[in-house]
Amino acid sequence: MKELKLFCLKINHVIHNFYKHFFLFLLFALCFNFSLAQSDSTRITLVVENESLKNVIDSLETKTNATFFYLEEWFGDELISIAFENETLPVVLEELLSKTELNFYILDGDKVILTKNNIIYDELPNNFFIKRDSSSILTTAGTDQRQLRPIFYSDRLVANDNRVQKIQVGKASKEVKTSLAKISGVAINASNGLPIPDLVVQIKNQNIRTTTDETGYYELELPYGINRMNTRALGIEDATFELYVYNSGTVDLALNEGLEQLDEVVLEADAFRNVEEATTGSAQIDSEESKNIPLVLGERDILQVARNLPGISSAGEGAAGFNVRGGKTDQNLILLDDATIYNPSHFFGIFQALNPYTTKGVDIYKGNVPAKFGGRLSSVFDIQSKEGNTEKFSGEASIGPVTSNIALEVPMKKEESSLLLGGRGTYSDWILKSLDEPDLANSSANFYDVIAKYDHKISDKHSISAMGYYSKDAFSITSDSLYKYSNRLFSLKWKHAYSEKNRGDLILSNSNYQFNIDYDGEANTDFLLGYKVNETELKYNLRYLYNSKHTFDYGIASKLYVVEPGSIEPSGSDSSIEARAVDQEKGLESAIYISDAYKVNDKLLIDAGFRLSLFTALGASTQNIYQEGEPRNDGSRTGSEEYGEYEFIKTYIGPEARFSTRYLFTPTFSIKGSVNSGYQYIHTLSNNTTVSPIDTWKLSDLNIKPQQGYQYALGLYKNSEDNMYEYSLEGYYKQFKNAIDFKTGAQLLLNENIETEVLQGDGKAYGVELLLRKNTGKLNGWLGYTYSRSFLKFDSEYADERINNGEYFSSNYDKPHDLSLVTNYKFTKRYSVSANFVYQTGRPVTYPIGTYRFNNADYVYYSNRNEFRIPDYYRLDLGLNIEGNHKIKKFAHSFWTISVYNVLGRNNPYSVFFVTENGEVKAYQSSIFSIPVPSITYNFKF
Amino acid sequence: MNEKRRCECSLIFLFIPCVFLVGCIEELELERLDTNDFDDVLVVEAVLTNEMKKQRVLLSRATNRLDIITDTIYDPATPINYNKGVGVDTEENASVMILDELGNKFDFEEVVSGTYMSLQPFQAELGKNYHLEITTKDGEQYISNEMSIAGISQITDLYAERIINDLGEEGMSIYINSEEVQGDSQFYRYTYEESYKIIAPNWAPMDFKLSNYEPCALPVPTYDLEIIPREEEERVCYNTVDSNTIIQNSTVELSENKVLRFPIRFINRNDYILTYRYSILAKQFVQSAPAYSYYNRLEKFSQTGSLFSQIQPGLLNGNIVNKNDLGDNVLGYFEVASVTERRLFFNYEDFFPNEPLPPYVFNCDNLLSAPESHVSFCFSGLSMNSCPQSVIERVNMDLISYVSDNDIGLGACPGPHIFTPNICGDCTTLGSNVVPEFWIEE
Repeated sequence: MKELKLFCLKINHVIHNFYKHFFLFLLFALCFNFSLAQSDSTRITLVVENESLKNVIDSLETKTNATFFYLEEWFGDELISIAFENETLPVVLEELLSKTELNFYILDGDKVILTKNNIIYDELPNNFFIKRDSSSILTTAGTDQRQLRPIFYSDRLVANDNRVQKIQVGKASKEVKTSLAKISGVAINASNGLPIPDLVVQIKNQNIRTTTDETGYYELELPYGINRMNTRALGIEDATFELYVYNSGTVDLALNEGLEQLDEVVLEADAFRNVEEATTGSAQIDSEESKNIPLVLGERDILQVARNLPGISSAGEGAAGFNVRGGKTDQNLILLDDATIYNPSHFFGIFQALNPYTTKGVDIYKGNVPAKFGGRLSSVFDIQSKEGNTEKFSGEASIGPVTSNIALEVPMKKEESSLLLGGRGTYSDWILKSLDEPDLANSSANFYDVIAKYDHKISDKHSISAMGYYSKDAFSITSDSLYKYSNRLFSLKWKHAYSEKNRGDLILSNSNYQFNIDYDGEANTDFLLGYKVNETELKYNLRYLYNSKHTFDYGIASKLYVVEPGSIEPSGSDSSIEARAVDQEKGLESAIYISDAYKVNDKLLIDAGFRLSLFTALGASTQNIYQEGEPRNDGSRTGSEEYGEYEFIKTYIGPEARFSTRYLFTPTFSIKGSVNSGYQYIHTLSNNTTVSPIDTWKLSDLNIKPQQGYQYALGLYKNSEDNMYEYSLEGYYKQFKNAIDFKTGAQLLLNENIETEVLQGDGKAYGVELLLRKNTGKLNGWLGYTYSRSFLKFDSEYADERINNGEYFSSNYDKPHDLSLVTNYKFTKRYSVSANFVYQTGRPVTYPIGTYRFNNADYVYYSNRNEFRIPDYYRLDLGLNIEGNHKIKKFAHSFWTISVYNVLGRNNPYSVFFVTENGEVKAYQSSIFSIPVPSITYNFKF
Repeated sequence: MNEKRRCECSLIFLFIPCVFLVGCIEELELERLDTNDFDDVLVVEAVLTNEMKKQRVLLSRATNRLDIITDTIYDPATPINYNKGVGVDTEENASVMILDELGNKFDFEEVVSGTYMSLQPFQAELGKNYHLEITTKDGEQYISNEMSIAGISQITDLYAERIINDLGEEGMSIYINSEEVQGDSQFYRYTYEESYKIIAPNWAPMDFKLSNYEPCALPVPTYDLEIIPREEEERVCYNTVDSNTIIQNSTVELSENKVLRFPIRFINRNDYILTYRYSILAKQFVQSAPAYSYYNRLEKFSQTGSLFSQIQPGLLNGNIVNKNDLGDNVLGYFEVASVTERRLFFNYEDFFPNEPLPPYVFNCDNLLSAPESHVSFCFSGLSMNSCPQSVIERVNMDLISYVSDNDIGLGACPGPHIFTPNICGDCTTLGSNVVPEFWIEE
């Protein structure tokens, strides 16, 4: 592939950036088809005398029907005289260009690209490095430091690497090279032409690096041949270039401000990010890159993968929800394209409710949460969807044992706007019905989710995107009740740049979660029960790049919650149920925030942020008043107060600190610390040990205080061997105030005096997380180990408001030891094997302390909560991934995943419980996937 | 810890045929709870009703044995009632009284271990508060909250229908209708007593009588085995069983306090209790809100819930406390409730005319024979006996009933008699031979 050359096109300046970078992509994408194109054998006969090069090329275009791409200014004034007879185009061009600095490159036989090697970069368009499918949604002010961290580094070969800038240095010659080549050049800011000082320029895998001086000038000595060069500087987008060094030469660089980054760059920068960024406890998962990880039933599931990261767990296999660093499951803010998704799972927690093909990835903040996020105490899961392809219709689909997925990318207006459509469904109902098993006759388990996203780039400075999402589940566990739940999301985002230094994102989002229980029994009590939570948020995130030392992120947000806490109505004509609805709840949560990333010097970075949140519970409502100092119950209720529509009931003010700092000992070794606090005004009401889809969300009001959380984290981060290995060790201590729990067995649905059942107490959690990661090479993956504890305390003077005598007790998700090993080994480009291993301490369960006889039956009785642990959990999964071949003409690119979940067949207990059956006490142990579960999934792209 | 595997397909795994995916619920065979915190707390069971009768209070202690009453599975090789009823640790010699709000005191006496009956019959009255006081023999004093009758509701109908339930099983479902009469009756609890007629399928008029049995005599055991007419009724019996589940209903969400077609019992058509004549006495208790909540939570804590999402169990506080030590947990509840009852009879043939009767509770199709005697238990040499257990051994343990003489050479080691397991020949193993007072044949 020695002909592989870099080229740069003079593209009409009027055409906006999006067009440009897309077109470049297209050309890059076709590079590896080059040799095929070269075989074209049109013969040319040509005689010219004293013609300008331009004219010669024009006549070549006419003769060969080839299109030439070049910049006219490359051509000098010299006139050419030349003659050919029956020669191939490459021979003609070789001769024609031999005395110029130009090289050529033939694409598909009919596109000829002329390149002038060493001045190419002057013309780099704005946003040149934006990767083709990078989502404009990612470009919110404030996210620039955040890049996608793929799970696996795909070890792409240079040849089909279409996103790294390739540069040829010096004109190729056949002379023998004896020493190092010297390259030099000037780095400028592409948007304003100013030189970039202190830009790190380094050559990968070689100990060669330098920084630019005040004028942006740099010099490097490096070996001939292919070198990979990275550039990095604050406020400048990281870039990677592949230098084909034929000779010493000049490489000037026009670089973009730090807006968005390429996938490949991300990988490079990502490793540094680990060390350099100030944020503690953050992680990224890329949906595409997670495809190699074997998961149950062959479902690609980034939320499941997230649970393999240190500090993130769930109550058990198949359980919904996340427990992040000892936090409760309701303390996670899960965003899909900026809209809150209340339940991102299907069928409890077995499947994610996200289409893996439309999902780009997720950024997870479990330590210091950036100031622009708020409202939940433990974490933020910021899930982004892809941007549709604006150039060509494409799609991706899979057929698995339980679900099928499809995603389509439809260009609307070429290179301007696109539509992304995703759909996903299960055929479980069909399977259920085809089973000849009377027990299952009335069983139902059904779900689907759909997503549509529209992206439109209006100009360099403006773009909008709109996203709509709907997911629905229906299942019945007992034959008389049908449960249904659904999420409906909508978000609209306008990104704009006021100036080079000021940018903003205006986001409007709406989210609706609801569930229904349709009870159809035999008596006159058939009913339909409904619950709904709806939120609408308007937020404005702004970023101001003050100078190279300060970057300010600031903004304002306001969210209106409307909760329908429960309604019941008769179902069927002979039901005597009286329609009733618990009063609507309304609340307005607003926040202003500001944070400054202050680079004190090369080693010290401080990111100090402050967020002020305000929550107002709004009428119309009736709030119960209870005697001060008495336990809340019907007896201590002294009256109630009526509030009119939108009347302020109670306002809570929550000042929140977001502080983190980083100190670099060496460029690859740092220490970071953070202090983080937050308020939470919406809480789940649940009587269960694990998350259930019919848990309701309740707003803070006169009687229910907001939850508060504090987290202190400190960590050490080290990368080695050119970022191949990444090590981190992070410890945290967390405290909660007013964490919510309930009197055991409380009736929560349709309860108008819910505050009489609520307990508010304290929590604390601490842990140490160790992560070893290998990012590149044939074998890659990570090993994570967490030691963590999580405790809650509910104390009161009154016995029925205490749990475990008012002492700290282990939470349901307190699993001290947690080890995850995720590995992938690539044999060839097409074949790879993966293995996961997970070990966790068994979770606490409430175990009875005695049995007794009552009402003709034996019962067990319980005392203290969570004093017993179920046996430890461990599991090994194996997967084999086969990529289809990469022939470009092939209609579809396919990918097979064959996996076995729980290869060891370990019967991991999910729970231990006691029931009274026929008057006798029986002890049971349940498990979810107790035998190896094989699956095979076929994916294809077109 | 013994583990008996009983893997079941749970709903989730029905996505795919169960061969592929099995969610497993297995029983843990625990003899005792594995806990260090066991505390033999007091258990109180008291329901004061509006019936004029001697009221009853049961007192016992919690245990850490898992099976308080042992398994109900019949094993023909084990004598009935053997090892049964390891039993409740009853609380004896306590002083028990119920007091009303006017200061009237109703004293109780212990009639059976742990069972206390009022000295005089009395009834709870609507609108009056009552509380329970207990002093145990070790001097601890317990007192309940003041409780009262919430309302009175009358059972207006009790009826049975042949249905196919949601699980696809065919059988008899028994429904209740009721209407409020007085007060505010929004919460209901149901219990029932069901009685049924049993006819032993292999009954014969004669039976074995064994005497002077010396199994250890040498050279051979000595005994007298007679075949004599049965001395008492052992063909037709009646059994009465109390319900042991918590059955509750509420009319809170209804426009009127009227219970309509509330199913209190479903019996599969193949259940032998339906075979001849069946009777059910249904009782409806009108509960107060706190009592309803207590029973409801007790019921919830003793259920599986769904596989993924289980209710958080915890300490269940009743309405009884130790006067001097609030940290002393007391299990159970003192309930004051109005009760109404109604009885229903029906025959299998009424609903399943000309259809085969349900199978007997035990498979009695095979008649058995075995040698009458056996090698002396005290014989010290080698015995090559491969025959089944002898008649005299089985008669001695009361395992078999006589059917006839073995004139046909039945069995691998034919003996002189044909016999059947007791359960097939003697109905008193399953019930009582006394016709219940309330029993009405058509």
